[in-house]
Amino acid sequence: MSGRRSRWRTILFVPVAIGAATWFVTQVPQDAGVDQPFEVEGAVGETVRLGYADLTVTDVRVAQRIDGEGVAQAGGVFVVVDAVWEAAARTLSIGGAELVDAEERTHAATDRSGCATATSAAPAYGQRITYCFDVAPDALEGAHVRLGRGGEGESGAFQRRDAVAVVDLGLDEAALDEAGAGEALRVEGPAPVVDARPGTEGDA
Amino acid sequence: MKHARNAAPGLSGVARNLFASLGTTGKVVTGAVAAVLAATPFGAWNAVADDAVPLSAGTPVEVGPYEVLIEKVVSTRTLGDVRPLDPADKLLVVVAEVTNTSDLPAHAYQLADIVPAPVGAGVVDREGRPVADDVATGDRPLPDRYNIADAGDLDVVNPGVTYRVALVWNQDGDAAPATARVDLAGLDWIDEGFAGLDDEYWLPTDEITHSGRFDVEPPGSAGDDGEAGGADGGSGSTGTDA
Amino acid sequence: MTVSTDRNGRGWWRRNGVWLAVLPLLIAAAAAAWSFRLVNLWWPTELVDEVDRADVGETARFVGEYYDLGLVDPGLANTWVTREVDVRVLDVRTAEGLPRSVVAQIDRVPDGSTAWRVELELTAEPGTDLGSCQVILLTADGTRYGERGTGSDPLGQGNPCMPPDSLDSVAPEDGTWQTSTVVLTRAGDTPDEVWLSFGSPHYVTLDLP
Repeated sequence: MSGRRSRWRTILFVPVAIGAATWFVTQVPQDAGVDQPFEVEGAVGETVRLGYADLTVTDVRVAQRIDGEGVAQAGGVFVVVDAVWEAAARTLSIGGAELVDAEERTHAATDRSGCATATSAAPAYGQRITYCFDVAPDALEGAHVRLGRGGEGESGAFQRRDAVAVVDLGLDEAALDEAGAGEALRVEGPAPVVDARPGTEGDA
Repeated sequence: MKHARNAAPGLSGVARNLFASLGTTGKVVTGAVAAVLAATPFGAWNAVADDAVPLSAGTPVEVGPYEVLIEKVVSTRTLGDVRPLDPADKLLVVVAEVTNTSDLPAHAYQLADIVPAPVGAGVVDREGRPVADDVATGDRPLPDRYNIADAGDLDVVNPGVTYRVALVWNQDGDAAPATARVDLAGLDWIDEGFAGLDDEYWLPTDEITHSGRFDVEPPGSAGDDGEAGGADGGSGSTGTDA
Repeated sequence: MTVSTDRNGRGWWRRNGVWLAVLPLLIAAAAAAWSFRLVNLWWPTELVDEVDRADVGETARFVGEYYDLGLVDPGLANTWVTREVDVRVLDVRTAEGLPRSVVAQIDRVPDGSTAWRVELELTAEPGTDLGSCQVILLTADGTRYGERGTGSDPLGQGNPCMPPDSLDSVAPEDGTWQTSTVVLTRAGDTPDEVWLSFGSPHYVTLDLP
């Protein structure tokens, strides 16, 4: 009976169409430009312009122990990165902080003790934030940080088609000596910068 | 055919029509398939055999992104400033060394998925109710986590970094077990989740991969004192020194 | 495929003729809708809806709906409430010092910044909820100063829609009152607009001389 045959055909049509469409979509080559962040390279002490904000990594230190809200002891060694954010045109949330070593291993910032992983940034004044990464000592050499407004999410989901600063930290094994077991390094939570901002000195 | 009688049969209508059009064999097969599908969320495909690998103190085991080494199990009245929720209870502490062996940062909270509450040691939940020995790993009470080096919290474990951690449960004050069974449960790497909505994370399997009996160091023993001191962070309020 | 006909004997093409004619238009509409900016229409998380605009010295009327959670007036809980506020700029001038506040993160004008004192006159039905009020200064290039992000005001000021020293966020009994708030800009920038908003997407614009 033709009615039953045509019903079967209709029922079959849906999975076949979905299957064919799925196959087609997975075959279309993904251009890396479609979902990669725009990386802007910089160095410690240099202002990186990201469009939505200016970022300056002002200082990089290495320590075994940090002291903000109670002393935190590193499992490896703390890489403490001081940065100043100044938004370009509107108040933003800054949520992306990652340290990548020479072997492409990625490391997340911690919010133990007084360290922060996120802050907000406004135009008109700089916002200082201290990121702390507890990393293995062999990750220091050739490490860089990736800082941006979007968090990393799943494979950088929140940084797609958005600018991210890539700042080489200029660290090597010798930095471990300064880490020492002496005084714990003082760290403080995010706060506005009231004294001379980076990036404005040469402007006058 | 009377198409007009039921212009939009809906999903159930389609299913009913389809079922009605099948022969007896077809109906039996469809019924069996449906039964298996319906039982899937309840573990129809789980392996039946109990194939947990033996676990012993000081032996490193790979679980998810971690290498986990269970050092010891300690029962104590207090651990530094940490006290049981009910003063009559005790704390059951699993001391472990964990290393992230992957290339990505790992969430320390997943240690609670990896090390479920020990069995047969009188662990009680946050309301003080005892936990039965046959409770599934995912349903056992979650521990508090401490980084022993600074008695502080631990949020991320970066690649290649090792921490000595204390996982702390509440233990019935009257329980004095000589040994406890410590299980390890696995994590599965989800590269691409359902419909691509949730990608690249470690999913707890709640299945026991390793299991072993550990001696429980009772309160007041030498090892316990050392432990409390180590995780104490200088507060000096250790109640087990006497 | 079996060719089916309905009871009038019309064929498939005849029956679907209208829809076939409309199809190109629908495809065009779908293509137009495939635009990033349309998120502002359906999910307006930004300040995208200018309710009113006032020339220099004129009064702007803010009218915007919000979903009340009943935090101030439990009688309004879980209802949509229309908030109506009239606003006029009295003065915008540079300020020497910053307001004194124990919760301020910034206690003096940062190097490279200028402080502006914004004085407004507001009129609203007494009891109108003025929570989440923002007073924003804009420069010609579109830079917005004074937006409250996720955190509190770094100058430690309270609600910029409320009279000085008020502790709540509800329009006072007077019905018309004056407010004063300080906003930081980059040194050298001169604001030419004030925006008043109670959260996305609605705002009113007040031109400055």
